[in-house]
Amino acid sequence: MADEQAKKPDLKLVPEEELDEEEREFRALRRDVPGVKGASEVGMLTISVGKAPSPKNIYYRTHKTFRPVMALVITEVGMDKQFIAVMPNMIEPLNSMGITTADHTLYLTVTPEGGLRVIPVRCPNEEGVQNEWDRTKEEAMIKGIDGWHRLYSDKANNAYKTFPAPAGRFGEPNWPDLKPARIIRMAFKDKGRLISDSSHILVQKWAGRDQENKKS
Amino acid sequence: MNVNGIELPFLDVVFEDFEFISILGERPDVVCGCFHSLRTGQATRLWRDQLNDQLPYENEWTLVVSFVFNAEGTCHLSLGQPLPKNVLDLSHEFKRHVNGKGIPRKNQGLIGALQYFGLDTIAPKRKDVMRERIMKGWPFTSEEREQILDYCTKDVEMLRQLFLAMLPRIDFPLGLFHGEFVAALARSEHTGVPIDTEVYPQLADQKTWMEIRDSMVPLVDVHGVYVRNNLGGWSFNLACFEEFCVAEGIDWPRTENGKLDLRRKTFDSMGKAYPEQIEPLRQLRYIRDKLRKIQLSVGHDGRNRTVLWPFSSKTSRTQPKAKHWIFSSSVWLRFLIKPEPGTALAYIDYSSMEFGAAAKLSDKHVPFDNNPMLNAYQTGDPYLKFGKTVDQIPPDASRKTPGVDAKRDQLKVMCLGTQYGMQALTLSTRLGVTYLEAYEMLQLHRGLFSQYWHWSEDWLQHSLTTGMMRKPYGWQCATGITEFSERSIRNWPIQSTCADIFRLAYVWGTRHGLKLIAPVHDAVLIEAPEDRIKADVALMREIMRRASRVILNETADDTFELRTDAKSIPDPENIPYVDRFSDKRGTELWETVLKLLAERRQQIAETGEEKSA
Repeated sequence: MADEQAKKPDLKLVPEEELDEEEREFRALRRDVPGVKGASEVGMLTISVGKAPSPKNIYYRTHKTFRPVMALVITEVGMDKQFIAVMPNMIEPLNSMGITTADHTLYLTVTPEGGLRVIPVRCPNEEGVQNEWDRTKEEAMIKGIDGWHRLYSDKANNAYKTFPAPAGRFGEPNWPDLKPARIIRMAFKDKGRLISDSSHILVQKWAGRDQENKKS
Repeated sequence: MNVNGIELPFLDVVFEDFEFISILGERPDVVCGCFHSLRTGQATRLWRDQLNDQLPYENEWTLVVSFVFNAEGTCHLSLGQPLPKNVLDLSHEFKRHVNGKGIPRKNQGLIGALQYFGLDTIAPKRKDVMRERIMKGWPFTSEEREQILDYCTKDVEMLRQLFLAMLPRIDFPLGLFHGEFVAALARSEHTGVPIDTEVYPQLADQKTWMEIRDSMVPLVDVHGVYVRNNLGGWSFNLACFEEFCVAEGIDWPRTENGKLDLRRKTFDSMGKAYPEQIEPLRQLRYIRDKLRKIQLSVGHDGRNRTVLWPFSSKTSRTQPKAKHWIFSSSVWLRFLIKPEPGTALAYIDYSSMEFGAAAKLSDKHVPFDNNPMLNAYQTGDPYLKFGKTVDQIPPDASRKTPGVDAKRDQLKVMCLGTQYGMQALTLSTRLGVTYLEAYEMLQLHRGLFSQYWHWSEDWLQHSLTTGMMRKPYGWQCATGITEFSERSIRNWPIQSTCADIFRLAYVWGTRHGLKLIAPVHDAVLIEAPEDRIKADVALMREIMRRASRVILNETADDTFELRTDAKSIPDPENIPYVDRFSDKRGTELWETVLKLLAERRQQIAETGEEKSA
């Protein structure tokens, strides 16, 4: 006998009011404890920065409103690229040391499992020219606002391609309740990747002062 | 009444204990009962001939305290007495208190509880000696009678001490609710499940069963995995089994030494992955290895009775003793359940209960309205819906589409296993798919039901950080002492929520006079006269629906509820007509057993003698 929600059961023997009354009685026994909060409660949230959603080929969604433009320096650490954010007051001093910065639009992405990542995309230069990789990546990020997509690097054409997820495959993304400034802080400053003054270790290194400090 | 500064809404508290002779399948044969009133301080000792069908205390305003009340409850019912109205069972109160704290089960009895609180007890050996004597049964000498009454009085005195020690830790409204549930189970234990009295005695006969066990081998094992040994019996042949696996293209798991893994749980998994090839073989193997005797506890009235052990598991689920309980043994044995003439049975179960509970528990855990898990539940068949979403089932298929039902069963295994942290390797074995496919399916589950995974992750962290897991209806379990397993901690809230829903439905149904005769995990078996079964089923389903609503929604404004399915026995609308309990998983074996029994009867009739095994 399949379930038939639409049909009201025959309750002639027990009036519904009586069951309602009992339902209230049983409900009064509840001892609700405070909500279950584990990692999220103690702030164990982390946001990484990278050139593409991680791991490779995973589906992602892009945040609708988070889209700040920041000057970044890209450094190579081993095989990895690291994105260092630079505050406007430090752009000129770094240029004077031969360290060039470039404006990047930051997109916040999330994977179906809840992994958050900031993806910087280099903005067009003063002439309005943008690298094909960057242009197609930006397109991919914008596509991710409305649906789940997967990023694929089409090396033959020097461009990114996206593949949409089948309809209904994933639910709506779960975005953390964080203000943009907090996102920037978690992605860059908390990891020591925000240059806001000349005391930053990288500035010291680029200026050659880190060796001096060691000697002294 | 004020007890140690705590105001209780009762006029008296009575501690009670019965001594009885317990015979498998029968109702308890009461020897004596002792009752101690906290108000008067007097103990009443009543031998069997002094007990009648009236309770020896006022029922309306008395709190009755007991340890394992289901035993006391069945004693009351055997004596023809009504059950006490207000019951507090210190057994599960103690279990709740020490759950997850590493107290071995054998130390969770009355003596163990007293020792836990540093109270005086009688020597356990003395208790064993007295129990042993009582179990030997009637007659008792006058000296033995005095000793038994003294022993029973001492138990009641210990109960009083335990109550006073535990008093500050007891939440009375919840304790009484749990006590009511134990009383409802006592009623079920007293009633028992009707068993086919024609077939069961044949199977219970050791000689007949041994013959059937042997005769069924060539009928079930059509692939020749079992071979005759030197003694003429059947043995599982490893080489033949390996050949069979190769021929069927089954990649059977192996041990570290490269040998075929023949553990029972591997057979369970593979049986689910290959229901047609392996499942019959698995059942046969179980019968040959484990079911050497069929020893259900069936009373002289043809009813299966056993202690139902409420709150037995750490999630507070009821766990009857498996080998004596019709619903714990092999599934084909359930065909023995047969209503008595003029009565009918109905099996009512929650559909996709654990999935639905998990969906609701994790709902709105993160601030977002869309919950694909809840949506999948609300489609009516979440496993089918999930299969369609992850492209395992064609979008327009239904359960009636050939091959879909088996696939859906596999996905059910996957969804439930994944919820509790099943890994890709196990999943690939269970589903008979490659490791990569299993990995991909797990990823899809995590992606689609990300809200559930956020909640589950938080539950795990929260439980380990606070050292305690709690549910709104009082059950709790400590973590970090013996409870470290990630899977177990993730599973706990869902199982204990389902146990709460089930308990509430059971209590509620009993209050309305429904004859609930067996709790079966997420289902209940009810009995009623044939002309009333339909109305009783409708009422029970309504109660079960409401029970899920009460437990799963924090406020009365939320209306999420679980669905139920019901199967009546006999079901006049079902074609072919069946007069007994049936389960598609055991149909083939049951029919084989019946056929063999018929052949055996015919042979005896023809030759007048039984063939040798």
